[in-house]
Amino acid sequence: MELTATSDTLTITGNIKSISDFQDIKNRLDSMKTTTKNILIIIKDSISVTSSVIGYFNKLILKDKITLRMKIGNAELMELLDDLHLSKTFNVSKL
Amino acid sequence: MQDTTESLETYTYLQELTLLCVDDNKTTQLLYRSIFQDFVKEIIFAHDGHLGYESFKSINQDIDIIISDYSMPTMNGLDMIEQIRKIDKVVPIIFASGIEDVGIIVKALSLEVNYFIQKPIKNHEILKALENSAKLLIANETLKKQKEKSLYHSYQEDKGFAKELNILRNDFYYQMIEGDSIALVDFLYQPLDVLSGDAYCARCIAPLNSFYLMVDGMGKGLSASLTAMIMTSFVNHIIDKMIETSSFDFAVLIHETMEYIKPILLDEEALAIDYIHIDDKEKMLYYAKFAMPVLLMEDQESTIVRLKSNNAPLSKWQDTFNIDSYDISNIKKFLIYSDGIVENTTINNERPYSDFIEEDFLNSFTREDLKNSFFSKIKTQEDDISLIYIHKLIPSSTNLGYESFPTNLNSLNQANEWYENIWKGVTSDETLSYKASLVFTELYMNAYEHGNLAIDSTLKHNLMDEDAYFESLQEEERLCDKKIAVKVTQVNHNSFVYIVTQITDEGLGFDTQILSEIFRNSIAFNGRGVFVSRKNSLGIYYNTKGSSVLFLNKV
Repeated sequence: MELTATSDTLTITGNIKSISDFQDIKNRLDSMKTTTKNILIIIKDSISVTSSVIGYFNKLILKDKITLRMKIGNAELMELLDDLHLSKTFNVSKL
Repeated sequence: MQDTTESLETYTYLQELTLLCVDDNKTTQLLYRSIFQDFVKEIIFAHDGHLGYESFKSINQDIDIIISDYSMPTMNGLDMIEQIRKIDKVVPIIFASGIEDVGIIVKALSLEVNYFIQKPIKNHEILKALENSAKLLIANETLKKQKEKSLYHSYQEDKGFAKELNILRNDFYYQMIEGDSIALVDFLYQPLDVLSGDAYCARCIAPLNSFYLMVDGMGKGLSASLTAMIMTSFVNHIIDKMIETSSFDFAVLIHETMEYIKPILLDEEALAIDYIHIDDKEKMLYYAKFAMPVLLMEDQESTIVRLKSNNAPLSKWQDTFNIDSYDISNIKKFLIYSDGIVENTTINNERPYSDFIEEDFLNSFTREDLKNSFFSKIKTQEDDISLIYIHKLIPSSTNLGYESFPTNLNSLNQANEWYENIWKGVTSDETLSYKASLVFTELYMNAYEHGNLAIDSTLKHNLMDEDAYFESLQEEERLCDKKIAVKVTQVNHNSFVYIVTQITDEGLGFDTQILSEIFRNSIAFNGRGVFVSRKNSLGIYYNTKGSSVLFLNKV
């Protein structure tokens, strides 16, 4: 998994799977949220996502009041987020 | 009015209605009174649009139909209608005037005036408009009632189904039974109607001792569903009592439930039932099958064994029953099902699925395989589908790896790498490997944080919120000398390879029945890891204690 970030956009390339992937994503977003309240996350091709990442995104929205938008490239991940009723919460749209 | 049944109904309905006539002309008012007084309950007159609007507003619940002229002092009929439409979009309005101005008529149409009558008034024309207005009201009322009824039924059905799921007790929800081999227990319950004529329960009587009930209320609808649910509910109650007092007795259970249900059954009613008791210590299966399809089993030599019904369908006239037994030492798979699946027409010359079920059962490794085979052969599901699928994994499967890891974050990454390396030797399909690794990460993490470190979900989320999660984990790790064991085996089945991964922690375990809540309501915050794991594997199975989890991937 690789991360690239601008001031308000985090792009994730490759599959999200390990706990260190979660830590990397968390560190980047923790840094971004100090300068912006609106963040776009682009998950280009990951097939799925770990529950720790989901939990962290949830916390960003509900506790830190960050407005998240998410652009998803993989159909299976879109379906998973929909199954978990997270499409609306995460403002998910197709990449 | 025409003397038809419909007109009579409309006429009766009109007798309850109040009419508002808005016209400044005294002669027209007298004419309206003479025409309508015998048809409606009350006529209210207003002399201009303003008074008409005020009358409607003050008693708007009571005015059912409005007749209005156009040209009137203070406020014309169209302006009045415009005001009325702001507060009532549906009250029928008859526009009776001598106006021929197209612009006014177009505006009246845009305000959804229902009928236009050209002055001078002709009795039959205005009466026809009144009758049609009444019919419109009747139609609207009927639609409203239907909508309310439909909402009510939908609400009741949702409640009914939730209760039904409570009745269908399943002690093996996402569970495995650990003995000299591991048995994976899976279920498929797919009713056609909300209230199903099929019901089942699966109960753990004692370690390696299980009971399964499958009831098919013959016929369809509420009566069959009621019988199936009452029966299942009572069986569960008796079993609860027997477990409490360690007095499970298969024959007593059958006898008691028969005595209970017989007075409830209608004279012509019959029930198909499977009572199955599997004693895995003694390696015996005991059964009393009442007109149910054959119970299928597969032995170690991949031969099908069929257990036919040994009792007629259960009716209120039945007094005796038979119990038979079968030695299951050599059996590796079991399939218990109601007739819905075998009677379903297939797309293969419309032959019933009973022609295919044995072959599909032999070829399937899990319930998911069988389910996929069934649905690929049919066009539509024709009846309720209920089945219980038990598969004992062969102990002699190929061992791909065994490792025991200490409880710390560094080992978490080591375990991931170790697991990924095993998969590299199994397949070059990166998607398959990724999915397996993702499930591994989720379930290993559960064993680490919830199992060995005993951090519950609430504490975890609080720590996450405070950004203190990883620091807390590292603190807890120092005091923990428990291990996480991982075992990976390979089972070959037909041309497929199944990878079986088992993760075992040394924690206290958890009540696996909460998984039922998670899968019924995935909106709930907790348990998303388990949900993600199920989505990316063929199935996940916990041991009774909840301290060991096994998952399957097909290569």
